[in-house]
Amino acid sequence: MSDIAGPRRVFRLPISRRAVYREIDAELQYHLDRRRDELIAEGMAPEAARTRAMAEFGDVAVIKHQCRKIGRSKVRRVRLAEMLDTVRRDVAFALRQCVRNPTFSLVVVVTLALGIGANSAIFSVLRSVVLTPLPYPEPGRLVTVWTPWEGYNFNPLSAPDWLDLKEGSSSFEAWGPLVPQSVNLSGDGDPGQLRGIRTSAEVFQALGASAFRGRLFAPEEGGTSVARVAVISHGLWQRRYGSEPGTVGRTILINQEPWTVIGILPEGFRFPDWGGLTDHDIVLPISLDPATQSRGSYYLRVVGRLREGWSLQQARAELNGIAARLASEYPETNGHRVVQIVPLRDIVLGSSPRRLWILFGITGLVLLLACANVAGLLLARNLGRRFEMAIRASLGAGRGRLTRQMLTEALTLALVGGGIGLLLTWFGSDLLVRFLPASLLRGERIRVDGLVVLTTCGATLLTTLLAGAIPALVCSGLAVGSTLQKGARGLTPGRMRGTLLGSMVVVQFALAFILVDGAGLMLQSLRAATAHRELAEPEKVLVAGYLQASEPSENNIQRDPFLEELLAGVRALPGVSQAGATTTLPLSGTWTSDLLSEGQEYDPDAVVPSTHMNPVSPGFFDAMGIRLLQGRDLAPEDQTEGALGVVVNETFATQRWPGKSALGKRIWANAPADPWLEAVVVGVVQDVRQRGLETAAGPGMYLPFFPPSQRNRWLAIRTAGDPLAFVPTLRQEFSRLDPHRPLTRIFTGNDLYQSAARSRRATTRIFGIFALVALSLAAAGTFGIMNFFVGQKLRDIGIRLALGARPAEVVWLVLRVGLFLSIVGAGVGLVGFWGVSGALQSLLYGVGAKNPILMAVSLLCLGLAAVAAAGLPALRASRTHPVEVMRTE
Amino acid sequence: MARIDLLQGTLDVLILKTLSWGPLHGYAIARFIKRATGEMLQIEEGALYPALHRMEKRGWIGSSWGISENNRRAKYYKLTRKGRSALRAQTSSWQQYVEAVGMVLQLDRPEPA
Repeated sequence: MSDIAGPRRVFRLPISRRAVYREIDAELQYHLDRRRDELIAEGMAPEAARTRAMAEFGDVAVIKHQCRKIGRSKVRRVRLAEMLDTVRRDVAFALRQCVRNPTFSLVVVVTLALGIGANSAIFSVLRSVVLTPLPYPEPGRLVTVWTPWEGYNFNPLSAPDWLDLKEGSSSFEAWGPLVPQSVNLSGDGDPGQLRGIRTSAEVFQALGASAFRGRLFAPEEGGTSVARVAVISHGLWQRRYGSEPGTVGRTILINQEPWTVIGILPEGFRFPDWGGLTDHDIVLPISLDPATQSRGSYYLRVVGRLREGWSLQQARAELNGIAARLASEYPETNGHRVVQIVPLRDIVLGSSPRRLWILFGITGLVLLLACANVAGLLLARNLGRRFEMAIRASLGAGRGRLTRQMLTEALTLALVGGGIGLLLTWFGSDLLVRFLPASLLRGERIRVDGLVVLTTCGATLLTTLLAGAIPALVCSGLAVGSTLQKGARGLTPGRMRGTLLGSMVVVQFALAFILVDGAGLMLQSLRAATAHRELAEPEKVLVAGYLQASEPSENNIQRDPFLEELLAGVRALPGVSQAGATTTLPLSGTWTSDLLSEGQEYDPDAVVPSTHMNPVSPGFFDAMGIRLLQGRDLAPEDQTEGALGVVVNETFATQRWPGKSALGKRIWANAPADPWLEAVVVGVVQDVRQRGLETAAGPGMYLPFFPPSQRNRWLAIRTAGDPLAFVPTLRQEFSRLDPHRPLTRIFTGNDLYQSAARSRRATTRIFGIFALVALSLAAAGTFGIMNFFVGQKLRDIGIRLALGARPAEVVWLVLRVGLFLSIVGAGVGLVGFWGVSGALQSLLYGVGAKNPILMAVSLLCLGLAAVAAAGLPALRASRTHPVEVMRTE
Repeated sequence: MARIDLLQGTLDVLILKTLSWGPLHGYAIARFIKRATGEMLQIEEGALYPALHRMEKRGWIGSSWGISENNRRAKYYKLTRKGRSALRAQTSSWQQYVEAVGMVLQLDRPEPA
């Protein structure tokens, strides 16, 4: 580059295109003139000599054009080099400044790294979970179909309804039912319980699945008669069959019966589920025989792919036309029943997009706070450097040059902070996965990809602008002004500058208030959700699951001899005070049915509130710790057909028979066409929440028998000591009764509450961490600014002290400023919080977003932080020695 | 004798060689090459200038304005260190090229493989 630069560059004369063109013209002209003169000297006529010279030269225009093109690229190169040189020098200067003041730089870099890192971390999760489409081709056309009562949501379909809908509809390219079903696999190797799913060929078609080996189902393999063919997952193929190529075509024992493996799913293929995608080890064809299946039994989840160009609304209109016809044909089951179509994405992602966007908003606030913090620190520092600036300005640096210099400093700090933030994201993503509610993740690792890096860069630039622009503009203006003339007197920050510094503190406290109050609300919600434990001493309960082997039978009410024998055996073991079983554990979901009770008549137009149905064994209430309020526990004789006894919960009893005893009252199924249940109430128990911690217990009923479709069993065993110490004994007893059946999940009653609260606890923790970060940042920023403020005012303070002011007065003088700023900040934050409270409310439970007590507590926190932050500078001010201050002038 | 069209890239070597004896302006380079080759090579004089500028951009030659023999301002070119090594590299590859082509042309017929 040196040859091009030359002395011209040393004096920074502009290199312009026009100058380059002029040189080219002059050079070529010289050549032509020289040749012409020679020819004239040889005796040629001037005109002829000129023509000859031109001819020998070639096409002048073309050559000039070529030279200009080369010249232009040269100019570009020089300019770029010059620009890079300036940037390099600015950055070098900025780095020198950073190194000269390491504490300051460290504080700024850490602040920005936290702000930027938090943002890219949450964004990387958002990117992996929400912004990545579902792993199926054209996922936008995938929907789910439900048949709820009018005004309700998400009721699965019954087999006859589904077949009628399918018959009459043309909205779908392919659609079909999915029913999760666990199965026992035995024969080759240890018996094990597998997560299975029953579905049809159309579902594979809708999801765009193809076999990795072998084939998937053919349409004729489902329906009224089911072929005994199975598709297994890639994972099961590797785990159990050692990736053997001969697995396809092999016969395996499923629930003691031989089935043929016809295909293997591709690696990583997962089925859509509520709130996520699930791995299923084995896929079996679904049997749908309208002759044997009741129209009132709702258990099919239907997934479909809309036909190209069909909208959700069109499909909904068409299906509801069919639903209306069914309603008039089968009023008992289908009256008031409508078809609901929901995009698959909404079902799979559940509430996670909303949660994540709120979290992203929170981290955005933290970043904003970090910006205000750094802006305040930079402003204070640059005000302190006014003298240096003024000297540089008087030596000829323009305002633009000074602004650019200061922005470069901010950018350098932001880049270092952003880089560290990105590293935090990179290495912290695994950590983040552990902190996040499991339901939020789709199983895959959080990816830090190009888009995440790009957003981090964007955040860094934004940070530079937000944090660097105001200090740079203010201070460069100041430098070009008349600081030097004012001398020492000019060192006191002006009123405007003071206000600006103060407003940085205010912004920080405002944002911190929002975050602290939000965290308080989340904490309060967590407390509200976990404070109440309806089960007595859940820490003494052991819960263990297994799968009932029997195939579904015609008879709804039948005994379960295996369970009876097992419970009798377990109860006889030392250390067991009671044992029972259920299919639906508290807090872990349930199924519902519509019941009529004594005093009610069947009315097809009436909407009957749904009741939670929980099949339980005798002894379950005692074992689980559910208190009996009236009557008695279920007994073996309550299973007698025609004389069924049931237990209801308190809500059911008071809703149905207010003011009267529920004992001895009759109840029956709200379906004259299919009277599957008729029973007498023998007892009333306390309310227990079934659907998580945050849904109040509704009316509920406990059945004395296990319907054949409900094949999973949860044992509840109340032990004297540590329930987990009892596990080996239980396993021994279990395998004594059936060596081929596996016990599946084992946990304690406490774990029921723990796992139900996991997602909320994780979200609360993240909120709490961010609030703490915010509060510390605000305190650190305030400390920095107050310290600067005191430093600038030392002269005034010294004079005051010299005139007889007491140190306590000086302390108060400084503290007052800090407190005032924090209170103004909290006020601004309060107004801001009013704006965002609506969005936050959806995350809360048992507490209103505008809770005055929490607001007061947050205010107190902020006040304490302000006192802590302003305290040290205040003490420093009170220890000022008047004489020393005067001497430094 | 027939005049030979200049091969691509040859002009660069000729210019570098010409400048290796000292700084010259464009016109003088053109004269020199014409005379040295015995006017056997067909060079369009104008083509010299894009070649000069390209090599200047590449850093092989430097330039400055000076006063010429006839008392006018002219742009003088001078070989840089980078240009000198470029000349060495190009000369040797040029000689290899000439030898290789010469060897082929002198053969009566290829030996059987």
